[in-house]
Amino acid sequence: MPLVLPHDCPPTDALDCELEVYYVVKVSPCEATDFQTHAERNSQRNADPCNRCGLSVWKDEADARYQAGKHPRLGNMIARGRLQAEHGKLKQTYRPSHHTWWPADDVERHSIFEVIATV
Amino acid sequence: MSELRNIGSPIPRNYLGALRPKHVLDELDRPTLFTASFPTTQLALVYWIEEDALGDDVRLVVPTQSTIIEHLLRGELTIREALRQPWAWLAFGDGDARSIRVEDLPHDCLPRAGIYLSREFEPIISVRFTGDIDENNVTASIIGRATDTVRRALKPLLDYVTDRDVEGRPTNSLRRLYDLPARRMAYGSFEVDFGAPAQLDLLGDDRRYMEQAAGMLRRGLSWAAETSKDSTPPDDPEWDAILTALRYLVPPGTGQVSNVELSGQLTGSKVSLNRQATRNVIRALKFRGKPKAVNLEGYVREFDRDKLTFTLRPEPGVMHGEKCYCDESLVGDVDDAFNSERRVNLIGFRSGGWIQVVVVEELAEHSGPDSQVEG
Repeated sequence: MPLVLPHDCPPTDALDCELEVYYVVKVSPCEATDFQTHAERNSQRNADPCNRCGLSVWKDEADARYQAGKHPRLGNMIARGRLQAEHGKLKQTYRPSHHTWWPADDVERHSIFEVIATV
Repeated sequence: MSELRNIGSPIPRNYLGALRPKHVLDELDRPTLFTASFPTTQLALVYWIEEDALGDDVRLVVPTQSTIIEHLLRGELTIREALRQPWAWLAFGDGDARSIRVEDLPHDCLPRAGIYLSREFEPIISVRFTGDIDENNVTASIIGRATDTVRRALKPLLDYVTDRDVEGRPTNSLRRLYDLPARRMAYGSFEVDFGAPAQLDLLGDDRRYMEQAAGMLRRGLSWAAETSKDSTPPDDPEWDAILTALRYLVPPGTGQVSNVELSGQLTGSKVSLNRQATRNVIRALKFRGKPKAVNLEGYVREFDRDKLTFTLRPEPGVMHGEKCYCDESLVGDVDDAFNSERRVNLIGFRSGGWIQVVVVEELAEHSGPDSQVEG
């Protein structure tokens, strides 16, 4: 993973990725800048150190759409990607469909995703 | 620098106070909607807009009341509505703050219309009329049409999906699914949100029926919203039901309402129907309006002497069948066939999912395989 992760991060109960997920992006085709974590952007400096190193993805497209509707400046496009074991670790966090994805460091994240809809 | 720093006028840094979350209503890596206390002890509602180029949060702050928060928590108010207050401020991560008017913000600084605190509160379906409408000229006929359009549109879809169900469905129970409670009305344009029916059986038949009806509705809306059309929809009972539903959803050909927006759980995404969609639907209905002659065999069941309707089932005990109606002159023949439980030959015309019966003849004995002639 691109930055030195905090101790015990990803959490021990995070699993190898094996899930189709949806992600909110600003541009199509997907670009690397839309796939930076808070830690990489040096934002949310008071947030949970481990969550800062992950990305928010949703198992349900409708939940990703709804999140984009709640905060339009997150982006107005929904991208879909099939995360597999080599892509990193995944854990369900916050509400049921929301997952935190800790990408593996040798993964070109944006190339896994394809924009499927504009909201 | 965020372009939002150019909106409104600056205010002293300490005017808004620390904006420490008092009650976090929503969060994603950070509190994204929460209440906080102003230095004056008045309650504030704080909404996360974005992260600026330096990674600092930009937030919208408005005064609020506990009743507004309760409405938000119960799904009776959208986030956007809760944020539309006459006083508003922008709070930047470096401590700067500005006094603004919410209406001066770029549209993407606020949640989209119709977004609630939780997706669970999302309306089953929302209907929004636009056109020559503002809050001063919403007539009773517009309100009536908006509130009635969903009931009329869902009924043929649910009739279709439940008619296919071998276990049948009591009429009163089905009515709950299409006669949905209006949960919220908004003026400006005119918008009605419909919530879930009371005592919805979320794990059983109700959910299955609604999902099937939603699938039909989405196919129909997708078809109707296309502006040019070279093909007509399939000529089958399912599309008869879909077109019947669409007839109630498209805007009228003339008058104030020129566009109908539909959104919510049933539609999946927002769909906009304009008058081209109206023309598409009318043309398709006209094409199907020509009745087709049919010749069927089966057993008369569910004869309603008041409505002059019955179901023709291919075999005893089989629950699916053709919906038929007749005029007074055939009541005796249909009644005899119903009481005798003998197989009949029926001649009529199929139109809009129903068969208008013109001849009913009892057969002496089972005449072999079902025959059906249409054309």
